[in-house]
Amino acid sequence: MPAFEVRALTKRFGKKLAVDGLSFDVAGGEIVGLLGPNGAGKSTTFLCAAGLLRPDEGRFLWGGAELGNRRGQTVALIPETPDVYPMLTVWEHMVFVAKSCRLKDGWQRRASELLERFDMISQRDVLGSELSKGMRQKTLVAATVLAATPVILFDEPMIGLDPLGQRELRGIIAELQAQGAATMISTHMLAQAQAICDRVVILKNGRLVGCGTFAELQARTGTHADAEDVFLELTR
Amino acid sequence: MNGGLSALAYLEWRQIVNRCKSVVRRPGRALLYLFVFAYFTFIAVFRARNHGALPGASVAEPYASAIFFAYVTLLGVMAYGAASGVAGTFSSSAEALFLTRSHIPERLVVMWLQLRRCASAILRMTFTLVIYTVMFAASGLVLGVSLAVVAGSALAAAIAIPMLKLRAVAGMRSAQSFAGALAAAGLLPLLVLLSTLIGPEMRHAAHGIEQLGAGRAVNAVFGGNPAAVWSFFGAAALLIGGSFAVGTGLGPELYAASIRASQFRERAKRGGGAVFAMEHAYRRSGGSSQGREPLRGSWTIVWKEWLALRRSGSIQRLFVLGAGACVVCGTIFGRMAAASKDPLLETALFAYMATNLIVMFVAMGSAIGLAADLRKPLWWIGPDPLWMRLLAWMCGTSWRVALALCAGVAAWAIAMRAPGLILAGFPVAAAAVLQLRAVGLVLYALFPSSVDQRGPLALVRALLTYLLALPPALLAVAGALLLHSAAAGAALAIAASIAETALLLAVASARISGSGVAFAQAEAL
Repeated sequence: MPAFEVRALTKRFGKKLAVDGLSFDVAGGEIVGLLGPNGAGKSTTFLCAAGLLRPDEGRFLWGGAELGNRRGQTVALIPETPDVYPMLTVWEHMVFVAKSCRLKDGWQRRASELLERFDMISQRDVLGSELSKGMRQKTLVAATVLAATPVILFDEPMIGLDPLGQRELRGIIAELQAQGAATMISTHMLAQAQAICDRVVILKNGRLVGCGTFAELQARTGTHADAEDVFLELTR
Repeated sequence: MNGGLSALAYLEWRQIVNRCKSVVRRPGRALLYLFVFAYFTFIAVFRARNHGALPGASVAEPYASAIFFAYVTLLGVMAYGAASGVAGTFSSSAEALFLTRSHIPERLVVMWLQLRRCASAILRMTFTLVIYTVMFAASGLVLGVSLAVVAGSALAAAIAIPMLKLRAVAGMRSAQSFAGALAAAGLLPLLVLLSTLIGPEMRHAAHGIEQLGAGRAVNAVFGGNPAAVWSFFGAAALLIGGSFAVGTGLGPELYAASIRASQFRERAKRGGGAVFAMEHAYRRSGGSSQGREPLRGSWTIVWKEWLALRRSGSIQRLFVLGAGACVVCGTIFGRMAAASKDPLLETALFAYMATNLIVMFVAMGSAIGLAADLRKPLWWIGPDPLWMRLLAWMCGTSWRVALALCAGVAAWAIAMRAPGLILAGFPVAAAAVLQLRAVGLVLYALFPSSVDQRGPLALVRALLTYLLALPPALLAVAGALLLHSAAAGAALAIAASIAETALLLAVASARISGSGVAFAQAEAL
């Protein structure tokens, strides 16, 4: 399985060092959690990885090949604030993604399935500006999954989703894993991260302070406590 | 390439169709758009019937050269904005996400963004030109001037992406230096030329600048000389074509610049118009506000706006720039009026011109957006009624413009050697600015959509401003004639203006009351 690799990522905003020499891997078919307190550099890492923010230093690789400026075609980000086109309907978002990503015939069936799973098929002709935050989140997830990029980064994906939406998203993430996608999830919901993720990467002040499975991190901290205690111990 | 074009065309087409549908669904908005469309049609037919062939125009020196160098300055300022990383390229962060991950060639995306920026600038300027034909009906719409304005807008809009590329390749400081040099290359000759309107000291230097031929180029374009006009359009086309050539590896810059530009627009809508409300870069060294909260109740909103000013270097610079421009204009017009055989006529002409400029740049340009405030529970905390909050908001977001205008009035009065005019000029300027804000506010309360605000409501704001300026103006004239006192006339005008402002505020308050969140949502439509 190819892996998504981040090497020596550094990003400064003026004098503030947001991310400091961060390196980690996410293998295809693996789900990795990106954890850290507020301001740790999680969103900055995601924005740099998705090609929306220019890092000061660092490389991004997929399957050993360097990803250039257009790494957005390989790495898709679903941001915490789910922005959609206000003047496109839900279905038109799917059409645009299909056209712009040159999806093969049959994408319509896949798009309908995704909308149905998120209970949004009745909303398919509703404009983006009229959608609630949760609906916008679902639209963005559906459009991103439809594009089938090999690396997907979710920034706080569960926030704003109703219980059904959360369950379906967990199912979709599991399917992406089975299909070999490298998935990263940034979240503050530690129990959920423990349940979904194969490994976690923990940041503090832009630096890596922990990386591995929860069991490995428990062993490292010398405790048998839960995820929350491990997290607090590492980020103290 | 074809697939990419088809996707981009689909994107634009569906957005236009859906926007039209959303307008038609609401009868009020449909009527608004119908009114504006009918107005445009009427003006076009009226002008065609009454004037036929459009006359050429010739601008005398030093004004012709001044126009050229003012435009170069404007280009420099716009280039500086882009070099500093503020340029609205993507329409939203959603667009950045979707287009960044798409398989459309990046050059094509960049080219598309350029064309869209230019088309939008051209549309806005065409819109302004139609209004110009009404306001200056006697002088006629000059084809060359119109084409020059359209080409100039396209060129100015197209400069952003090459500057972003320069920023990406050479760094922010180098790009800013280049843009600053361009602005200085326009500003220095402009100041020398303008100084000749105040005194003869710089006449020799100004003559040298006039010999450069910039004025002749301006007159060639304004006169409709095909070679000159095509060259101007060609320069814009060259920049757009150049964007296609250099438009790679720009994703992060385009995204960051668009986010900053949309933050700027958001704040501009809240804070008193695009001219004076650029506060995208809060300074970290703004200082603590602890222990310095002299205002209470709804007037805390004024304090909040004051903090925004203190913490934003860019807004302070813009304020100083605006006030400086007002002082220069006031001095020039004051000197001209003082030297004239008929100072009263000159003064009246100046007042007429100043009113039109204020309507063009402040009333038309100040699209109001309150969503950022209305959706915040903090904004609603406290027992004061909504009208008082809105009044505080109006004062908090208007005083900078009022102060800049007062500086212009003071310079004008001093140049006229009639400092007594300040006593009347200051309250008139303050009342006028408050009324302009109230006009914007009441139209926001009727049509909160930001698309309407930037589009047809610009025209309605201008027309309503003129309409509401009539009673104070008539009262001023009547008061001055009947009571044989200019001061009495000014006092009557101020009283009428305040009464109108109060009425507009009451209407806006009644409309918004109890529906703050609904207004915040409607603003996005």
